Amino acid sequence: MAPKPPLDKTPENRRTQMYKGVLELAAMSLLKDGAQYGLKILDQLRDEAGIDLAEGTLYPLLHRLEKAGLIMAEWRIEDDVSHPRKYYKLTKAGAAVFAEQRKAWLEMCGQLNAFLQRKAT
Amino acid sequence: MKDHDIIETWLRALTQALSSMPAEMRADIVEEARALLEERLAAGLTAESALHGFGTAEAYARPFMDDFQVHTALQSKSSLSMIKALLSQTGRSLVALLGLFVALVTGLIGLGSIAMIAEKIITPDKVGLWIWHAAGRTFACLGFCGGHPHTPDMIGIWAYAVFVFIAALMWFICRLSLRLALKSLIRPKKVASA
Repeated sequence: MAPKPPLDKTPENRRTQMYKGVLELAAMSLLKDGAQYGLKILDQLRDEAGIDLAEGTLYPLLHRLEKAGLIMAEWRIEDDVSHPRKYYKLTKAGAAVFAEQRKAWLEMCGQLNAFLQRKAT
Repeated sequence: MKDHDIIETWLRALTQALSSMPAEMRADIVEEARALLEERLAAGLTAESALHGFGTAEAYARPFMDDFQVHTALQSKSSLSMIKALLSQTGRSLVALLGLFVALVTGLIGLGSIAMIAEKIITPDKVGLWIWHAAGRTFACLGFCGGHPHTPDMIGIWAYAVFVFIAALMWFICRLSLRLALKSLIRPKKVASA
């Protein structure tokens, strides 16, 4: 019988660990396209980025970005829903941080991809 | 229990878990959770399914509370508040642990320097700086040296200034370490170092 992986080293946990560093980048990337509310952010991250986040992860993250001045929030009342929605959008400072982080991520990915694929070519 | 009652019970527990936060901030967090949960219910989910991603109210409140505690400690500039905020995160953060360790070491050295100033007042000839050679090696003693060899104290009354300087420097490093550790806890993560 194959040995069981340690509890904190399941494939799901590994994936979560890998996601942690890029969640903020993904959320900022999404908000760069325009203001969004929490549920929409969750759905878009899942559908477009393949990041299946729990609400308990996303909202504290948005709160932290807001406190850091990278995003700002406002409550909006819309005709199609009975309750107000809290919309988030990227600030100027957030856009600058996003541009810098995006560049760093793309460079790192390029190098890492080449490294991981070195045996395949 | 109806779905709406389950949600209301969870939101009440969340309000309770966030009770040490200012009312406006607490209401903002609770109302945002309420908005999402209502939207989930309207989409046909049960209360249990809608709450699944939130976890328990206490678990959901924890990161908000941690963040609030860190910001409050930073704004208060009180060393005690900063130590408390870091202590609450030592189980989850190496940075918090490291910050506290440096603060503890520098704090102890600072307190030791203050103790040396007091000792210098009581026994002036036993606190100072001595440098002597023995068995081909050089030894030095800064502070309280009860059994030093018969060499003259090199700094005399300047010992007060030296220990005041060390105490002030250690106090500065201690507070800097607390502040840097707290700031790094709330700083957005850099992807390149993820």
